[in-house]
Amino acid sequence: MRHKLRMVMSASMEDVRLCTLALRGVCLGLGMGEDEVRTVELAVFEGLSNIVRHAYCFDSSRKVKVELEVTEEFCEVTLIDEGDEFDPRQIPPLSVDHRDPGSLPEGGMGVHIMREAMDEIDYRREGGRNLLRLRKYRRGQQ
Amino acid sequence: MRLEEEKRGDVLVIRPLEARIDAHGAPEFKRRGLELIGQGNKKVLIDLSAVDFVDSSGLGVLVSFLKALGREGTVALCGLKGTVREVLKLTRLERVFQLFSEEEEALRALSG
Repeated sequence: MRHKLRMVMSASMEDVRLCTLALRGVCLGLGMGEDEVRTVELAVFEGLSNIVRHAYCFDSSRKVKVELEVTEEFCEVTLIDEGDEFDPRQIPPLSVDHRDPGSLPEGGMGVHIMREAMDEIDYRREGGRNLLRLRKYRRGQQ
Repeated sequence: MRLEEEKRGDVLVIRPLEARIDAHGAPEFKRRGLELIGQGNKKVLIDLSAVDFVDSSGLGVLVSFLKALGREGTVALCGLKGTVREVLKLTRLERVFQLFSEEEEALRALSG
């Protein structure tokens, strides 16, 4: 089994929401479990949200390409934009000291969510484009 | 963002009525929550039973409530659905907030 889907969305938070909902529906329809879909949904939402906010600075005339590939082994989502360079791997790990509320971060958690939710994150800058590949191995398939 | 607010004894209950708390509604949620905390509410219970999805912006708002109250107050969450619970787990914030299954259970624990 190998299913591929390509979508193009505008760089707006409304489209981030709709695109994520569409991916959720497709993944569930292809037989992925609710737990798997939930983590992929969280990671993709944060990835797209970062592009809208940081790479495109909320310019909704810009476009983001979203490529989904689902096999029996993995679910992979690649996000492609032509905005400013943004390598999420450069964001330092989140530090949470649950005994000290004052030290808790109010921002920067999106990249951490992507890291924790997915098994592989790969970023590359290619011909003025940012390519962010997020892969989650299907349960029991890794 | 639509919110329901109710004072139950010394506990302020905030019930977001939107299915999603993300970058779109988070700023308004933060503004109103901090305003209520600024009015002297020290025990805040956020009932998330109508919420299906919270992103990093929404989490940031919950953390801002916690920081505003500091050690003098409490922020508790109840009614967490699957994806909301998952995002708290991924960010390890599940250890930071007091978590309860239902609102009445939380009120019994927080009141007094």
